[in-house]
Amino acid sequence: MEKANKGKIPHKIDEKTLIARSKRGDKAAFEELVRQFSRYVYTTAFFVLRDTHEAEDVSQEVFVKVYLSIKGFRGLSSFKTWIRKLTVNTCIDKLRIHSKTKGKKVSLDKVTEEYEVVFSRFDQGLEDDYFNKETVKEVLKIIVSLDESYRVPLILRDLQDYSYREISELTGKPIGTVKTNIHRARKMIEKKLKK
Amino acid sequence: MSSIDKYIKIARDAFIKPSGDIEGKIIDRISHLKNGDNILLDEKFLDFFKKNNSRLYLIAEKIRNNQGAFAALAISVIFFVFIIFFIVKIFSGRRGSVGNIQKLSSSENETQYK
Repeated sequence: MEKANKGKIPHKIDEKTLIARSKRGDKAAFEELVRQFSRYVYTTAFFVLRDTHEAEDVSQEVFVKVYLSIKGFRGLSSFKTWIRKLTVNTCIDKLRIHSKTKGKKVSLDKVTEEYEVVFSRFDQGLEDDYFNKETVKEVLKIIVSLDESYRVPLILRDLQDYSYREISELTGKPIGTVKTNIHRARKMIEKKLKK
Repeated sequence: MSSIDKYIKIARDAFIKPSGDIEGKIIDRISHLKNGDNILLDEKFLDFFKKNNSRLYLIAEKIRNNQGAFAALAISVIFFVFIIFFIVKIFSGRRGSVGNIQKLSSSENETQYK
């Protein structure tokens, strides 16, 4: 038990302190950053790549990159913004490199069986919330089943707050196409939800 | 707000819980880094890193992402400056005219005394 807790930071320390300590080479502080952000990185990677193993690889790759470069991180944007951009860039690179991913569809049914979909802010006691939670799971399942050209822009825009321009630059598609694809993706979700 | 927006908003709080210990795997990976791992810091990453450490780049990005908002802000600032300039000009004009009246009245008084 002692061994398991060795190096763990007992109380939740704020992000800035953890980054400052990580920059000084405090490994325990960096491990705490991993604990706080790994779930976020993994989820983002999964939604873009639709592959649990690739999402795991990307998560590891992202944190290795962060670990190797954190000394130079100036903190002009929040750590979450930085790690989000890094994760998305890494995922887009993976999508480009591994064209085999194209067309691969991992159903979220499988994911919910093997892995739980967790909600960070939800009052589980209310019936309405239960209904919302189930519908959101359904929405996520539909998003994951969408084709890459619809799924990636929708995730970046609606779940990751990217601007149309940024999505256009990342995906290499004109802004008009990006907007159209996001609009179509939303329509597809609506249509499938009504079924 | 359409129902789809509502659900997507809730979906932002959703996480996929991995079956394995992802935290443990990451921590283990960074504890056993090899020299070859430095390859990950390739040119593309360094470019990204450099850009995200540049205040100028980040400000430019904010402007480019919110062109409409910044245009509105710029127009409001110009409008505000113009209003201030206009008010100052009116007041300075009034002071000038009051000063002239006072000068005139004082010179009239002087001629009367003479």
